[in-house]
Amino acid sequence: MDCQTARQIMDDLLDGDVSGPEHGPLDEHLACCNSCARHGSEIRAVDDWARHLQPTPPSAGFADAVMARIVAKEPVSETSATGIEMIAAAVLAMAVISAMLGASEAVYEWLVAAAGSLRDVLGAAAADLADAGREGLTAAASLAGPLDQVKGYVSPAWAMAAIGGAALLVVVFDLVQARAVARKTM
Amino acid sequence: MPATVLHETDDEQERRWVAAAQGGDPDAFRRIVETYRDRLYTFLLRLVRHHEEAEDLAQEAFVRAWRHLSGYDSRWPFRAWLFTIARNLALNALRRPWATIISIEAGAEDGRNALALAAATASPAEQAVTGEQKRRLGQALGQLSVQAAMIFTLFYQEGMAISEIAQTVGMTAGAVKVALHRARQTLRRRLCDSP
Repeated sequence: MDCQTARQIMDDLLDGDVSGPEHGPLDEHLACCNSCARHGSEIRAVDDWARHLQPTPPSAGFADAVMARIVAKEPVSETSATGIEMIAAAVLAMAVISAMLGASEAVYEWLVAAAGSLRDVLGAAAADLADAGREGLTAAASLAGPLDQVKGYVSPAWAMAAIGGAALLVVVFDLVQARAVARKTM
Repeated sequence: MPATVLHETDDEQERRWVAAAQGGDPDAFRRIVETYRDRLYTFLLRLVRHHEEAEDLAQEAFVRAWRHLSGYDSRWPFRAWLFTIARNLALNALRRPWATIISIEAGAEDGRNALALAAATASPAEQAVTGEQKRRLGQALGQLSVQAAMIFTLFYQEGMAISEIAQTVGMTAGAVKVALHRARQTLRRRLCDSP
């Protein structure tokens, strides 16, 4: 038996795979190969350590927090997500239109707050979509600073349109991800 | 109904809780939450390496599990289904470019996450590894790839068989074994590092 085969068998044994070859040849190899014997001892020490790791508890009140969310947000139908998508799209459309018109940052702040409030007002199925809208707009708002510095070179309307477009792309990207995850978890 | 947590999940009891929760019984679902909260949280902590993020994701995983319980097929292990939800949430969170998640490198540098990741927690039964080696192993665990950390945790913490891990993470059994072997080798090398 060569060293590579011996180490593969040791790993298989740790995996719980007992359907492999007899241990006799492995024992013989370990008896005459110091390198593999040391390797086996080390890998078993890692295995012992890992098997005795204890899980870390979350903060106190975790279960209460979960149950509070469950009680507050009863299961929602899948169709409600469509309505939320429409609302999110409307908020985004407002963002883009006002960007095209060169609206002030105050309008953007209001839109960010409005998107965030969707989470409170609407059902649990909307949480991801509302988050996506809020995060997208927040990300877009963070671009306002750098863009403001180049406003001497770029017209405000086009700069704001770029922000709106970026927000749209970010949110669409996140919505696609959220839907993909929702499908996988079904 | 008193909230009693079983130290080892009784399959039959769990099936009853799941069936009751599918019928809309929140008390039964609470039993499930209490049974899995520590392990699900630790699993997520090893993936995202950030306490608050892991706790948020664990909450979200339970809420989604409750919401989608009607779609759970009881022919499959409930644990694998629950951990699949958590895995998908973690991977989604890690993909967000603006996620407030500590990078693997940052977490490893100060060692503080590594200690938490290992729950540093070795039980008294484990005597073969010294304190310094435990610290290094905990750090190394925090430096494993997300995929390796996921497989390592499901194998050692959850005691899942290779086939169940493959089902949970969406990989072949062979790929799971390779990832697990590599993770062990990484940790073995750190065990032998000079202090």
